[in-house]
Amino acid sequence: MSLGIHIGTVVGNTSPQEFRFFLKSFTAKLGDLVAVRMEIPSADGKGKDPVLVWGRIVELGRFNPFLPVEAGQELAQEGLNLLDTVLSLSRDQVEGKVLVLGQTPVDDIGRLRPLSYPVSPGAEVKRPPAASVKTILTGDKPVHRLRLGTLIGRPDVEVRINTNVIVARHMAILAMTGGGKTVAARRIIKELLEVQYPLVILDPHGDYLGLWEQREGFPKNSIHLFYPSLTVREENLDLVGYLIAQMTQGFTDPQKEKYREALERIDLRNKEVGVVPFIEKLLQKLEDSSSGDRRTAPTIRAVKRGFRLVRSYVEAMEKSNERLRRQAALQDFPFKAMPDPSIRPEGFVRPGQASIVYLGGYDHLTQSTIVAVILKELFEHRASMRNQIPPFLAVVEEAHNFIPSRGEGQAGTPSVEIIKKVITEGRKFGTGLLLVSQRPSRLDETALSQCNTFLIFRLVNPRDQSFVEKVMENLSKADSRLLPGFGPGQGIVSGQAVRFPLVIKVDFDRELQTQAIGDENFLEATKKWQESPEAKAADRTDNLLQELDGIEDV
Amino acid sequence: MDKSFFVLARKRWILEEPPNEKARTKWNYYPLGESVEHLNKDCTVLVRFRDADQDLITDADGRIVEYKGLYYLRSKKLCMFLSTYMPERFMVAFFEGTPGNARCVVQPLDPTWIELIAEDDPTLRLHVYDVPPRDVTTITATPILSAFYRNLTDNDPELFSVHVSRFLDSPHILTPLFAHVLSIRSDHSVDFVIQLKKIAEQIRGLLKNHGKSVRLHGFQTSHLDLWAQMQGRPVAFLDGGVARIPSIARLEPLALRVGVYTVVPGETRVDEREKWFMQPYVVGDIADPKHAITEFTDRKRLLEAARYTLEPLTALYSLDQNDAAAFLLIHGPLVNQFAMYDEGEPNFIPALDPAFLEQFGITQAAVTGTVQDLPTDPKGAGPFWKHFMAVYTHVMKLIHGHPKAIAGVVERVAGRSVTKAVLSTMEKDRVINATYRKRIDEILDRYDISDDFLFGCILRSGEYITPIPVRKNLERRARDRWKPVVRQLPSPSATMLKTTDTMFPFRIEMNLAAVNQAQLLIKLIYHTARLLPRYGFPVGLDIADKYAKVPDWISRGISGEMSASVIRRAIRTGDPHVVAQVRQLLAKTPRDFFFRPGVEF
Repeated sequence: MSLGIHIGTVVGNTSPQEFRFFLKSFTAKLGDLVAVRMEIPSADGKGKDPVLVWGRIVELGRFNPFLPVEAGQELAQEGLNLLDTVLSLSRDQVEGKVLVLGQTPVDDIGRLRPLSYPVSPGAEVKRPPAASVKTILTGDKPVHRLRLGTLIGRPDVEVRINTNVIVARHMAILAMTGGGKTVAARRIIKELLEVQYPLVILDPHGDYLGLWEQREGFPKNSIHLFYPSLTVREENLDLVGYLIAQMTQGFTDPQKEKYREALERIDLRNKEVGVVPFIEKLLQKLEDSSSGDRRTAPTIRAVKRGFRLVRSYVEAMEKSNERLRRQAALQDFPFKAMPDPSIRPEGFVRPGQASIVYLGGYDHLTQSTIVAVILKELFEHRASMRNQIPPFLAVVEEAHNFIPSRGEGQAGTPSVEIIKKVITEGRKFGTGLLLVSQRPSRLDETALSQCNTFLIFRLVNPRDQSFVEKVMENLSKADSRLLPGFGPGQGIVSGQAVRFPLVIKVDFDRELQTQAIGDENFLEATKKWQESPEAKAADRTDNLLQELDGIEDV
Repeated sequence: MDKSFFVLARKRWILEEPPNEKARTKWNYYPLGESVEHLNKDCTVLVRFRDADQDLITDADGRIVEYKGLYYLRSKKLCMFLSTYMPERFMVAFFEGTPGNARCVVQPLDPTWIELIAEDDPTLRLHVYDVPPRDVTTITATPILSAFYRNLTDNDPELFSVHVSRFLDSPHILTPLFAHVLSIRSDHSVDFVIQLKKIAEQIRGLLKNHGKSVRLHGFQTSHLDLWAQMQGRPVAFLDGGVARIPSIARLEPLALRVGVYTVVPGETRVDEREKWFMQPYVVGDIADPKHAITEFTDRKRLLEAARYTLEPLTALYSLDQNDAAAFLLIHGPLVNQFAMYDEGEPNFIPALDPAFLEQFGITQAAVTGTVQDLPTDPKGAGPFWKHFMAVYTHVMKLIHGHPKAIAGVVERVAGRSVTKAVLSTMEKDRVINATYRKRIDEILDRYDISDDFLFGCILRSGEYITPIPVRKNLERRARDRWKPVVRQLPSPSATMLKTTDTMFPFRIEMNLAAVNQAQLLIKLIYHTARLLPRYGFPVGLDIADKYAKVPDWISRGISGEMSASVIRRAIRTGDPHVVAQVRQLLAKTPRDFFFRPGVEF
């Protein structure tokens, strides 16, 4: 088997974990996989076995011993161009550090094992051909793998990750804004749609609406766009109680008593009522039952206040969401009211279906409540083993808003509890989570550490970097130092879905980026802005009113 | 090292006070008052001041004298100046030195100058120290001394030779200065610094004001100007290195490599801009295999002679290969003192291998054509043409007469060859007379003042002296039969150049072609040294030095390969005893405990 081209020589002190080498200029890049042929003691301890040691370049330093640092001072001070002087710039040297990934027998690179003997100083460092790297990346187990992208320095080597591990054991995509997390999530979604895997996408910003726009590219799939709509049926009669508990300080025992009394007076057999009309009914029942008893009047007033509060929340959010959906950019999107996850979970989860729940316009509390309701109901369906819905993967965008750390305050976030439950028990019931966040340090540490696969893009915030280091067991110091330097779409994938951490460039599915909600260009928007008819009418009316004010009362 | 103080006196007191007036006009006594601090009566003093035309006047015959309980500085030049011109109300005299040897700078002082110092720092409380004085006051208090010195030297650094103080006080110089002071007689060591300053000031004054064939030159730093001149003109830098084999006990260095870095300033194509050339030599391979081994070879001398010969040989070879080079600079002397490598006992070194020499075009005909009067073999084998002395003289003659400018740059200058040449030239030019020359020589000998210290004090940053021929190889040091050859070794023209005030100057030795372009060459060396401000040495030579230096890891690599080769050969002998011996030898280094007395292996 060809080991590839010779790119350097191992130098200095080595260990079974890492080694340094001098690199021939311009022959390899950061993140490249390299191989070194050496001998290790045989299993019986009596001889030597030839092996290939595989490693990843995690550091590259370039220095020119013939260019003194102090010369830079004079050049700067005198405004000199180095080329005009006798200084040298052609003899720079590149030194690299390689993190050892493991060793394989020379004739069977499918089996990667830990290296237990230091790398041989003086050994040749090779840049293996694409075919060998592909083999070493995937191993010899025939499992389905989805394509994520390519190795960062090797566009000829594609990176595929174990699909089942992602959908069963959860994955986290972490990056600062613009790092490429949504691009990566879309890439994974696209690959999962191709294998008909059901997806529920909780989308606060409409980042995934492009999937519907490109629905023709997924002929075997159905893409559904939902807006949040909570309805009450006989089966989920206590929904308002749940909302009261999540959105307000909750009811006291006497208040709960009054709520139940009002609830019992409503007959919902075979009916479906929206949350707002249902609250109207409850208020009416409470009004009817108030007998002028001075002792219970304050309790009833408090219950009414709670109902009105929830009603006003839901009304405001529904209007806001509706306004967003009616804006010019989104008016062609066929949004439908989301099905009730408790009664019609199959409306969300079917083989080949992607259900995108657009949460735009709702405030944090309501978004969190809606996410909690959806995940809770769907998970319970899976946990009940009634087989009403197949296994699925839920994509949680802006995950730090739905599963914040304790420090961020979990009390006002109803979704925390159910996400924790799904992330710890989901694997048993075929409920996977794909958490996407730009502020890892604001995520719940326990929940994040339960993710078995991580895809980390550019992170500049030191708190986020150290948090990621803490949570990810197999992220080395050298790897974490790479994080602030990544460009868009460049990152590290690590965990059970890959054999070892890989520095990758994620494929950019340009077609999946929605044109409806593009990058903010407020300068252009201001140029094109026109006053709305309502605003014009308001202005006009104000003028008329002023004129009327001048006329004396008759 | 030296103590210092100021004597501040009122003009009226100096000129009109009864004993002073008489002493000054009658005996050339300048009054100092009742104390001269640590200075002895009869202390010799070098006096410096500026005359009415602002010319710097130096009087080396100054002396401290006592008259009627008062101290005076006897200086004819100073007193004559005072009698004709004394513009200000005060005179200040700054003294520094040892009890028997001092220098004094005298300067008129305006009262407003004193007022400004008092305003700048009221905490000095000058009035407490009688400043400004009613008649005369001696200032020894450190804060006032510092304030006065700072202000006076800022005003006229040349008069106070500030560059000398800056040079001698710099951390780079202090260590070698102390080492030198400790190496000379104790009674001389206390006077060393003040003597050095005095001689330097005198020679600087002579070179600057009266120099003829040899003078002081200087230029301002202007990289843009220099590099504009050097655009497209290749410059080559050459240096050599030696390789040792640590794993073979007691083995002397056996390999040499000479590296040449050639660069074209202004060329933007990197491949065209820089050329690197390395010539490796194995010392054992250059020795003549047919030479009769009659004496034990001095390997250290062999290596030195080889290095001194191979570096210029490589320079010639490199210029043959790359004839576009405008300048070739060698790290080290252009011409070495070579008389000691005359192959005789007790420092025998073998002759050079004719086959090796032939690679460089050096044949018997070539050597005998350039070097006359070679000694001949008494056994009738002809002239000693392939001996180091003959080959070195041949190579040196080629270098000296080469049409390209070739120069050697010596960073730590030992000896006094340039000083001697400068004094001789000035004597020939009648700038100084033989008596003065003899006196200076005595002082230089007594204090062992070398070129680096002396010119370190004479020169300011950016200054150099006119290149003058320097005799490096003295005939009298050679053996009789080699004297005619040593006489033919060329005398390069040498200059001393100082790149920064706080560094030793370095010596530049030039061939004839380089002398013709001396100004540009020295300017180039100066500016390339400015590119290494802390080291103060031409950066191109620093690059060549790093390039040619054999790093330890390469030596270790050679060591490994050499060891393997030795073992292989031992195994081929088929003798287990030889193999065991070789293994034991290679397993030890010279510093191993195995080599300690009493340890058997």
